[in-house]
Amino acid sequence: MPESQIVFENIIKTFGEAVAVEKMSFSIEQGEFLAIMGSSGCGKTTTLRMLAGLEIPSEGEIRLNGERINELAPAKRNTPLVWQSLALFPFLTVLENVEFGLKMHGIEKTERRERALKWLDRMEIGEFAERSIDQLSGGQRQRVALARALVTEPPVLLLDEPLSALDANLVVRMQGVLSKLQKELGITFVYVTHSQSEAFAMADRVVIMSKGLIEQIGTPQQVFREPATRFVAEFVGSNNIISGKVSSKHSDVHRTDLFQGVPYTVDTDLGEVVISSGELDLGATVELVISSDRMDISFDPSDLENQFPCKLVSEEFVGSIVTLLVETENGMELKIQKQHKDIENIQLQTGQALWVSWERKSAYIIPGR
Amino acid sequence: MPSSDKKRLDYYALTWRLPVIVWQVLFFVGPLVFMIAMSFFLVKNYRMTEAFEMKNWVKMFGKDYFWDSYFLTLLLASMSTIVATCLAFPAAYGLAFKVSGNVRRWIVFLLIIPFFTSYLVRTFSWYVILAESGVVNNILGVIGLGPYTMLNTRFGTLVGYMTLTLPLVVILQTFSLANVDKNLIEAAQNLGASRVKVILQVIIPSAKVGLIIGAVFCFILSFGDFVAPYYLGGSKPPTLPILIIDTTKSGQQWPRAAVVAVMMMVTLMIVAFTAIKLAYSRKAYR
Amino acid sequence: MRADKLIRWFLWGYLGLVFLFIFAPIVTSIIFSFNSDRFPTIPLGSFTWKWYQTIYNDPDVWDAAKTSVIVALSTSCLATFIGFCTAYTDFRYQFKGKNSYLVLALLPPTIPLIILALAMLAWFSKIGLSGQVWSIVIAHTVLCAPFAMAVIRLRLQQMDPDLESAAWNLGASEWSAMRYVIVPFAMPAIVSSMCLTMAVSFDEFAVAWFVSGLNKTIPVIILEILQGNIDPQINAIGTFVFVTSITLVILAQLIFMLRTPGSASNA
Repeated sequence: MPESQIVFENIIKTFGEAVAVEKMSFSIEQGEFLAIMGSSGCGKTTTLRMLAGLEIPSEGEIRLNGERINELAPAKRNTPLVWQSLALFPFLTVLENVEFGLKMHGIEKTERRERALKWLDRMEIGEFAERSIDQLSGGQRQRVALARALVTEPPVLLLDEPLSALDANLVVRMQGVLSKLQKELGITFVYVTHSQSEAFAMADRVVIMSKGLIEQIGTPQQVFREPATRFVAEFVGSNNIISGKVSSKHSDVHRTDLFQGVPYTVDTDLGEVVISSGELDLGATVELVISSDRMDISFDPSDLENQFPCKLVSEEFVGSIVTLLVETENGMELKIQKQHKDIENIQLQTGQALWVSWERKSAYIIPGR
Repeated sequence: MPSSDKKRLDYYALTWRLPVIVWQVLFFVGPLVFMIAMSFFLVKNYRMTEAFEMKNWVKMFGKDYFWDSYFLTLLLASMSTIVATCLAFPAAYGLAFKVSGNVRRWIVFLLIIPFFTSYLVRTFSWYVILAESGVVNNILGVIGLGPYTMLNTRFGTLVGYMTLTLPLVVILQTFSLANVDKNLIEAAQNLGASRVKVILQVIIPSAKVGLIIGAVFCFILSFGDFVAPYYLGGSKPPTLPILIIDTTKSGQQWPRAAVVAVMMMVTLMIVAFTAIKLAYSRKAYR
Repeated sequence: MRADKLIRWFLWGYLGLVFLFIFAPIVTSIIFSFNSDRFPTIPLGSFTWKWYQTIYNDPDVWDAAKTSVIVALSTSCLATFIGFCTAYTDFRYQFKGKNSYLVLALLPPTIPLIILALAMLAWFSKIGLSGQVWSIVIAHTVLCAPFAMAVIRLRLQQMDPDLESAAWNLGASEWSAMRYVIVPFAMPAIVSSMCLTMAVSFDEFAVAWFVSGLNKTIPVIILEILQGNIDPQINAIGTFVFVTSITLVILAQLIFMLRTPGSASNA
């Protein structure tokens, strides 16, 4: 089987004493849209810069199409980057900016003009060709940056938080532009971002990083529903995470859904919680991850399992989603997300006593460390 | 090329790094080191020979006129520093706190103009203005005063020094005062501090470093200037820079001039070092 | 508040006095350059171009002007080049001993000119470079390079630090990135720096006097007039130098200001 287009093998990157990337291995397939996510300082930008040749790995090997490129000069890679700051040349016109890469590759004037204009048209900014950069709006500059990067028809495009400076509505539009572009061109996009919505909206696969380590690689769906670590569970989505200790194998065998796994009882700060899971050792620590949209509330207790009394602390509306924050008797805060239309008939008041519950299969189990 | 191999030396990096090193070693450090060495050379039959003798040092240190010059220069430069610092402060205070940023930029630009007019010509103008029959005495004569002798006095020298240093000191003070945190001043005023107290206990301590840097530059410039003490101060006794010129130009005694120059450098280093210590001392200002 | 107003008036009045002091000698020299009397006294004589004619007809002044122009032009190029290299190194690289490197580069303005003059005089005669036009150029370059470095460093400070990497990323070698990105970006500062260093060199007399030998510059001529037969042509030369320098400085300022706003940032 041929090797993936891009391979990171045991990459370590240190800056003096500081470790930016710690033993990282992963690969990227030709034509894939890969998002690298994490909070600032997690090493995601360093990873991208190593791919562009702007940083040299301290250890390990990076291969592009099977060839080691650790020390290859950035100019010789054809892995253009769309910068967070855009890094457009302020002393050049829009057209000259786009031509720059072609000029550096020694393409003669008429051809590079033609190719640059073609890309400007494709990005729908052809009319601005002779303008200077500071006469453009944020969205237009974004398009210039994309055209400048793509004009050399690279096999890989790197993007470093390219949408972070745009207004929210423009971000959504540019996401559409990027997705479409990537599908049309069929080239690999490596997209660094701290924004979950950007990553999930566009990426085929997501790499979640924290403190220089990869926490999880997977499709957005996998990362969202089956977080590999507590960090991922906290970082993505809006999850409730409850730690506990496995206390017993559930005796209530007749309620076992064999396809859901084995029921266990877990001792948590809330009390006893029933889960269903693969084999677990008794006494092991586990993290229960319950997505906030999988929790329910009711005014009165019923015979449901995993039901606990609580008090409503706050309500927050974002679009059609309502996030309820409740506090349980022992002081633990839980988040519950509901569609607005589902609860608009219920009158909720801050401080009101409620019951929170969830199905055992809703809890995703991360083995403790 | 990437930031991680910033430490690795390549032709490209060296191309930009080396010029200033080579140039300064050849034409800045070289001359200064050679001058220090020269202070140990000997002059025989009007010819300098390379040697390592203490003769020039012994000779200069033994002369009263050297020490007269030394202390006079020290005194004049100190006076100049104090006068310039005090004269500049109200102007800098006004520029820093009482005018808008735009007005300040224009005034600072006007203050830069003198640096590009000939200091010699300006000094000559003072000669005209301050002479017995000059502009000032003419004006004073109208109201029945004078004439006063202002040339060939320490006053004359100080006027010359101020011509050289005042614009620079005002600029440096303005910058350091303008950088004082305005919230600090308002806080002090809120706590009921009087205007004078705010200046003495908040503004001056906060702007201390900049004020001292201004003073140090004033001292260096005055200490090394030969024009003002010569043409406006009468050069009796000569200051150290005049002594260097006389010894070099008329006496052909370069090694002795070097002794004077080295003494000046040592003095300036001590002054600058003390000032920096003072500027960055954490002692509370009371 | 009344007191506030009073203080404001006092400060403006005081500032006026400071400016009177600073500009009195400049104005005086310009006025007396047109005054017919041989000796500069009040009341003034009649208006005359005589002193300008005198210097215009004086071959020594012409020679000196020529020397001054050659020295100023050469100095501005050399000092700006060295200043650019230093500013770029400081902007781009971190290395061991960088502080000492910067001290070495920026120290000259803290050494009194008279000391540098003596040291240069001795050193040039030692290495066999004394009394040439080049001696003055070299000495002035030492004096001016730190100013050039400061001006260019300030400009580079305004540059998006990703710009150079962006050029590499688009296929430019380091040299190409320098040529097509760094130099164009720094160009306003390079021109400003050339004007400023030219003006400084055009005005400097102490070091030039010591090392010039027979190749006198304009300020050295002024100094010699001052030492000998003082006459009002000194005012005429002074006014001429003033106009030249101030033109250069205003040019420098304008170029820096005009080119700065649009290209200051591209965020």
